[in-house]
Amino acid sequence: MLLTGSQIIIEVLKEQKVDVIFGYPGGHVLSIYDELFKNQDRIKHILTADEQGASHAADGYSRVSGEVGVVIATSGPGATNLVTGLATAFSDSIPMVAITGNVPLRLSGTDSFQEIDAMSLTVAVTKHSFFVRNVEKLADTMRDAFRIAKSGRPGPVLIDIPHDVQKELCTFETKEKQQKDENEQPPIEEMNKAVEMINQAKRPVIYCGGGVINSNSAEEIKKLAEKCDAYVVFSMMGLSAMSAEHPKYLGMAGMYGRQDASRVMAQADLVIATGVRFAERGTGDKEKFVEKAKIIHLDIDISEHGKIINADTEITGDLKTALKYLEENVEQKHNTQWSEEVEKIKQTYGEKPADKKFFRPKEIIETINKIVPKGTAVATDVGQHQMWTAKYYSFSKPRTWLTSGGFGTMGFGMGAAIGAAVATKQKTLLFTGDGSFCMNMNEVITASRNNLPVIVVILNNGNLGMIKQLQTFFYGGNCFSIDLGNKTDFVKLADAFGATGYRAKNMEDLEIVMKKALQDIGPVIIDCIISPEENTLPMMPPNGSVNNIITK
Amino acid sequence: METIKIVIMANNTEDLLIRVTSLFHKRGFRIKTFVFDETTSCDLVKMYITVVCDYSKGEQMLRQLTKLYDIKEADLIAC
Repeated sequence: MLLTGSQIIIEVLKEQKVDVIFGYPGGHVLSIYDELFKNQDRIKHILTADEQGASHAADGYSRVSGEVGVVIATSGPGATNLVTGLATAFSDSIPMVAITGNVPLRLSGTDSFQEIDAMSLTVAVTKHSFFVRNVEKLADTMRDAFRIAKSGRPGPVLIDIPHDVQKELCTFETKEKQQKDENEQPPIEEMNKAVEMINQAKRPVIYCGGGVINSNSAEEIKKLAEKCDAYVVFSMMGLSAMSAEHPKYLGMAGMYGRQDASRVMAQADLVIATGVRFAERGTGDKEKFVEKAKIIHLDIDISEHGKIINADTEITGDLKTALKYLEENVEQKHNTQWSEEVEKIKQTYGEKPADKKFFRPKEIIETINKIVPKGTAVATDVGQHQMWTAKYYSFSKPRTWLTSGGFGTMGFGMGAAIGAAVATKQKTLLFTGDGSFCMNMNEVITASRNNLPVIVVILNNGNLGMIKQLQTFFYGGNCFSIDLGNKTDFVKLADAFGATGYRAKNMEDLEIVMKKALQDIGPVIIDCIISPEENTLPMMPPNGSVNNIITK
Repeated sequence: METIKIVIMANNTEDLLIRVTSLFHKRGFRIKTFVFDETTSCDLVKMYITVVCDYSKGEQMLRQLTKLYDIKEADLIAC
């Protein structure tokens, strides 16, 4: 059939089984929006307040559903507003396709109105980007974009389409949904070496990263941990890969991680690192990181091997296949002595239980955890609240934890929570700070307009808490540009944006308003007033180790 | 530190140069020499890039380059 470029875009989206896209219209995508208008019964378009919010929403949608998130924006400032969202997704390996319009080819390169070289602009923040000059290549380019986004190590891909190409006609034939490339199979020789290492280990630890979630290998990790009797420690991106109630679960290690988790990993004689990239927030000083242990490093991406840590055995390939092979071939172990040692470390260095007479982040997060249904998706922004949530919230299943791990994007949370709520159609939590929330709070409008069940819990301390903490500990207490002034009334703000607002100053308030929030329709904002003196401790200093953890 | 040469065979696309050079910059390399040449196929080009670095860093750069969509082959030669 003969179709315009814009019609082809819609047909390929349908081919790829895309039924929701996030975006913001503009002059050079109007042809595409005209086709979206005609296809509203097949593809739902969620209009956001800003293209950045749309990109975070597509990202959140993808993290929760496992599908490729799609975002559309116009040329010029529309495309530049996507950059932070693309970088966030790129850092965390989230499959996304971003479609941008551009000026007609006759104006290309003339500094035209709202013109930007989106393809070059996004080289550093995408797996790949395309500029489509020829409508006959548009369909296959789009299919390729979806394939690249979800193949191997997933990531965002941008397609920039000039406006005249969107209007040109060409022949189009529907194809089957583009599948991802088959992953490289892990080499048997290396895997057998790993089996041998695991069988010999007396103090094994599994270091679980975001790759376990991306590859849908949660079941395989659990089975391997049980078979080789290994405790499981997590990077921030790996959280939710295993239920926090599992007896082998230790929680997040690293800079703001749990002290017992970091210390257990430091005592291991074998670390099975799965889908982690050994980012410095997790490892600290790489010379002192797991000094006593041999390392097996499993990852889909060969360039992660040897980038920061040189492992004793490197296995490149499909993580699910590798973990299954290891579990099937290792011996059933019972490392009784190791278990006793780990329990002692947990007793000495583990988190103290919550005391509900205090209205502190730990108590707030653990209380909310118990009130909301199990399996609720939880998003965060970036800062102290993010680390508190990572430490204190007990996840029960994968794809329920949405946080900007690699890029640390403040303002990620509201958009991501919107994407998650659209994907799940269930109540979605956002833990945020008063600093982060204000970066993209305009997206509350989006949540209100669409009646999205997002419950925003602001841990409001009147400060940029993480910056204040770092200035206190490492810059002689010279706290500067961190005081947010406490003049914003988030309850009134909620009302102004069409949401429901509550304030909680103590645990009793919180329990009452949370139960109400679960019944409310549309977005809810809960302003929790906490002390500005709360710190995120224990903390391993930058480039530190378990030998210099700061506890007060 | 030594001078190493990376030889790349790639698809002849309009964005190839910017992707290769920005990847070198991103990973902290300074390009010493860069030769961009045609091949007998108009769809493929060859690049010869020399940098000064530890050999292991060069190997890491090779792994990063082979992830680029348009790169067909990449090899490392110590000079």
